[in-house]
Amino acid sequence: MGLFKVLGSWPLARQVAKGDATGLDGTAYSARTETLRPRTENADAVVKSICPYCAVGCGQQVFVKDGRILDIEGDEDSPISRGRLCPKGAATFQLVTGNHRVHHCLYRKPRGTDWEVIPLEQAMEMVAQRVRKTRDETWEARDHKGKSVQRTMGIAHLGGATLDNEENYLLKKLYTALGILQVENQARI
Amino acid sequence: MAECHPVGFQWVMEAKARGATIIHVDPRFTRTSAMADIHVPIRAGTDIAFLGGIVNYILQHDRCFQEYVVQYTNASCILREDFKDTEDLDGVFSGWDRKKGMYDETSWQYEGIDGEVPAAGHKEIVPAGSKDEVRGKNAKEIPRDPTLQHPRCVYQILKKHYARYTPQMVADICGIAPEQVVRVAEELCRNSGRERTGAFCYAVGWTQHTVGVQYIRTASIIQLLLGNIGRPGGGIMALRGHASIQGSTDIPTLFNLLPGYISMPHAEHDQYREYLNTNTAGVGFWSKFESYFVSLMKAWFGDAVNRDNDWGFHWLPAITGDHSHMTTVADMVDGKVKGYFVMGENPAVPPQPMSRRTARSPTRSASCNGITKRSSRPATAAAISTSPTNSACASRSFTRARARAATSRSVASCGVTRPRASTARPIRKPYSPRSTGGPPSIAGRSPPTPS
Repeated sequence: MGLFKVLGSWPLARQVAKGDATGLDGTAYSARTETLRPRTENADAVVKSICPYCAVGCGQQVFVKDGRILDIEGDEDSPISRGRLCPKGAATFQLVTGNHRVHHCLYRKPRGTDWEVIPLEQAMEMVAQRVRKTRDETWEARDHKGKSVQRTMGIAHLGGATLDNEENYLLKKLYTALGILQVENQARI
Repeated sequence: MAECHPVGFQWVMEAKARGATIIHVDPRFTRTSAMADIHVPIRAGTDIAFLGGIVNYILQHDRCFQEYVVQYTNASCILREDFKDTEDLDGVFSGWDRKKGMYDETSWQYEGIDGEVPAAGHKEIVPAGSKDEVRGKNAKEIPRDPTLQHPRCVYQILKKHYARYTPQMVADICGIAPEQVVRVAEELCRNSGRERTGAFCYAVGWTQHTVGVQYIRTASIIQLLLGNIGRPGGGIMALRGHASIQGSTDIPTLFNLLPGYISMPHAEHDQYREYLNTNTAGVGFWSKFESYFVSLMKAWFGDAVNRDNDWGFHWLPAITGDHSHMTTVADMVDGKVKGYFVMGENPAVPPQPMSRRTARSPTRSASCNGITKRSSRPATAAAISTSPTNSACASRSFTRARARAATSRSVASCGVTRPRASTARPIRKPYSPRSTGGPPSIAGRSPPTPS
């Protein structure tokens, strides 16, 4: 009986039994393969997004479960990409979850040589204090010709091309309201 | 485009399936060339001649879209009598001051205009009223010739200027056959006009030149003459390599603009009325300048702005000149900038004159860290993360000590991360394009036999 079962599970035997000449109709599956399921099958949600890399802006679907990303694939509904992704876009998963990402705020004291990990709240407090202090110290209400300028030249900004529109808008709004004028971007450089 | 924007290239293939002609102009034969109908292997850096040859073909054979050119371009505008082209003055335009090494642009202006009409991109930095600039409501009516026959109209001057770019001259400069230039020009002309449009697509193949601006402007001349600007399927498409370079210019995070290309106030015009007058045009989109400004201020400040406080105009900082990246970095060296926010950008990679310059600065009490090669471990997350990395810095000093060798990762153009041996280099080593892995040089290869 055992021998019959072993022979019966032989792929060739299964092919013959099923009439599957090409072997494509699941007759070549092993027992393990039968149990495999796509990662995305039990995702909690699918979030539509746009590829972060180039200007084509292909649609992506981000499969999420328990607050973690399972996979990132192309979005068929996007009229721009029709579900296709280039090699970079297809590998976006590693951009988000790869082990090269830094997960903590790092602080290096003046003249220090090492980074130390600090909590986010402390980092934000330090940034806010420095911005406030520097702005107060370097505030320029009028320039040397007596014209009203209402600005600080002590703080500057350099942005990158991966900052999306929403981030750029908030940055510009914050800096302009603070009187920070030297706002620049990779776009110009 | 097939290799760098493959998903975008599916639409080029779709167009080809519907009968479009794909022309690929590139010293290299790439996968785009394999799919193209015509491949023109010009020598690297000779695009000015190639595009000039196309302009000349259009003008000599009168193939421009006449109604479009007369109505929507300045081709019919008449220039001043004292304007002289490079053809008349042996290579320079009128107004060349040899001692200063600069042009005086007065003779380049339209006839009858008292002053200068500034070029796009320039007017936000220089306040109106300086150098006798006229714009907005101050620009008077420009004399035009709709027949395009007046010897000093822009069209005729363009014709004279580009007359030297004959197919033979272009062939000599670009290393191709004269028939290839003619063929490309003819294809473009045949596919432009009232019924059809053609598009130009470019990326860093044009921009990574010192004369990149000239290439793109010549392409603009071609597209304007053929009537392809502002029409579906036409235009000049810049295939930008990042997700939000354009957004960063539109929104923008730039010093001289407010969202939607509204100019930042200039200190010279610190009154609201003056600011409006210099930025509002007589007709067209910019005639509604005040609406856009008020709309923005209401979006930012809500109910706190109203007509009585000039819509919050006096809360905006004012520019007094050029506050761009290089100027700011120079100020850092002088100790004027105390803090620097660097977001989503890693200016230490690749080596730039900026980072070398800041690295060389003597010990000062102010200025920033993190972005230069001085840092022991540059913010690697900034190089490869798409979310902005906020590294705001406190006051610190620069020293002349050599940068410590640090391992860092950089994302190569194909998206594969590879460790770089060292970001630190002896400062004395001159910058070399090959060190950043630029495109291979074609020097030393024999030119391809023209088909």
